[in-house]
Amino acid sequence: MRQQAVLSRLVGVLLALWTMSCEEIIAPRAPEASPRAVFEHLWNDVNKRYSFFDEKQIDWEAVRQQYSPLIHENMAPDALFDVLGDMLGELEDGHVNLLSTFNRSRNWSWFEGFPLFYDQQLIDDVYLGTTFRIIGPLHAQTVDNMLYVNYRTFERTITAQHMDEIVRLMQFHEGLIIDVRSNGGGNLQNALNIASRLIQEEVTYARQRFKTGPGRADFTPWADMRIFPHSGEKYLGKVAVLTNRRSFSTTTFFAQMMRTLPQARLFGDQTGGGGGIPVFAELPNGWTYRFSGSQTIDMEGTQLEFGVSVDQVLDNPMSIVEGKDRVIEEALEWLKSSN
Amino acid sequence: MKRWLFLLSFVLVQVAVFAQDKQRTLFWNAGTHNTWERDFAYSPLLYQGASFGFTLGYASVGEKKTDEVYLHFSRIPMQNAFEASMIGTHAQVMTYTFYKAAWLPEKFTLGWSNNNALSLRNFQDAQNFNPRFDFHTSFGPAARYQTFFGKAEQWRFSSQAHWQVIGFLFSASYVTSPPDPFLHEQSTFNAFWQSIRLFQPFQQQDLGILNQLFYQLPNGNEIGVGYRFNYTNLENAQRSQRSIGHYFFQLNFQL
Repeated sequence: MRQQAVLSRLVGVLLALWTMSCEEIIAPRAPEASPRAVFEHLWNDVNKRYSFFDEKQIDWEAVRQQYSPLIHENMAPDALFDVLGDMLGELEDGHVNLLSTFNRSRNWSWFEGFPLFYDQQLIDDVYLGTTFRIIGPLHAQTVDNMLYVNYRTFERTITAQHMDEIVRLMQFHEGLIIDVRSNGGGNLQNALNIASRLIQEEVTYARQRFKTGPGRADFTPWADMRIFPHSGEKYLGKVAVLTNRRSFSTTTFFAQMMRTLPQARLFGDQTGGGGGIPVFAELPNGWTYRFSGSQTIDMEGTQLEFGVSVDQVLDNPMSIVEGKDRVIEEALEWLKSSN
Repeated sequence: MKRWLFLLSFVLVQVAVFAQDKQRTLFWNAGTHNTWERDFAYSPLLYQGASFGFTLGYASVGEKKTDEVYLHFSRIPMQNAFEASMIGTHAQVMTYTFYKAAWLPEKFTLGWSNNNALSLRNFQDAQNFNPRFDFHTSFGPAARYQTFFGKAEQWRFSSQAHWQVIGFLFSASYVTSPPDPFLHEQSTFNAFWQSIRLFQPFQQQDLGILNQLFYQLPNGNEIGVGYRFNYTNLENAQRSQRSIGHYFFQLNFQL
């Protein structure tokens, strides 16, 4: 009887010892982080999940053949970074980056080489002056009885109170100019917060789909993207929206929202694109990267990735001699003429 | 109305009889959660960390059958080897049912278990589609060894384990946080239904071990310490794995 009790306790103690720290024992080993392993991981993940291969006619397998021979087991981290960054650059996508602690790769071909038609100094000196209102992230000033609103980045939050103030100010103005030139994007909700004050009824402005698998055609069905009208005060008059090639990502979405509104007109140059929502991921060596994982099209089926065109293209818009911003001037003229 | 009153009376009587036959215990434990987690949709790297977690539970012990329910919760900051951060939030409802069988040694019971677990993973460096998540409900066999010792048998040690390979899974999509069916227009019910994936052999599993040592106080309540281990491997649009080691102090209150 005593022997059985001792045996029983022994079994218990053994069971307890056997199962302590199991989570440590079964923890998987770190993945291989050699240059070759990192290269393969990056190429494969992009191959499976990037959303614009067909639209951009990119032969990703050929890209692999081009860059793979450049990978050597003893290459320095910065050399590996350069090769991987250049490989990602082949996608010509502003939403594709490689990020390390020492650099961030990018492809800025969507605005490099194009005139931006935007001079902040000129706008500060001539249009905003020193008496402009600061309404959250928005700088607003009266220009020829119109309200000129300058918005630098959609990363800064626009609240209902900010838009209440814009709508209130529109009681004393004859038209609204929203300047999002060189606005690199940010949170889509901020774009919706503005647009929802400019419509009376629900508006479908684009369609979107997401990657669902490794195949080139593996996408969700297209889903409508909508703007819902704000329940409170709104401004339903004329709106001029100013864009350029550096208006990217959420700013492209905002331009598309405005394009669908009959009372809005776009001035300047087409936006830089950025119609794919960036997906973030991490490599075995700790570097992170992002890439487009979705597609967005306008109501005619044109990819927003390649930018939203404007209603009034201004080929030679900046005149330093006159000390005027021609894009703003054209917008003012249109607003005056339509009143 | 009479029918409902009769039914209610019947149920109350049954509960009273049931309660007389069973020893019911409410318990609470707290302690450190040592965990690692890996979500291949974001990274092949392991995120590890430790934090405080707690469990609420209820046990009903009868002559032939024991039922246990555990509600586990923890929120754990984790880091990978390169010091990138992720906050893991885990909530879990785990049940065990054990039966005594004549052919088994006295200290052993066999039964089954059910796990309903949610894991949220908020990666610091991922600006979109955060958090990634998975929820799974799984079922499988469970076994328990329990022994009493000490002069008055006031010490109790139990060790129990489960292995679940049947179940279903609801998790983040190939690239986004919501499952794919939620990304286009349809009813929430349809989207939810289409998002469910059944466990496939050797692709999804949930297993765990629970060791506990208790000392019974004169009033019948117990204090004790324990260790709970859980491992989950899930595969839907992407693969995710996690493991938790929970070292805890526990109080058992007899009802």
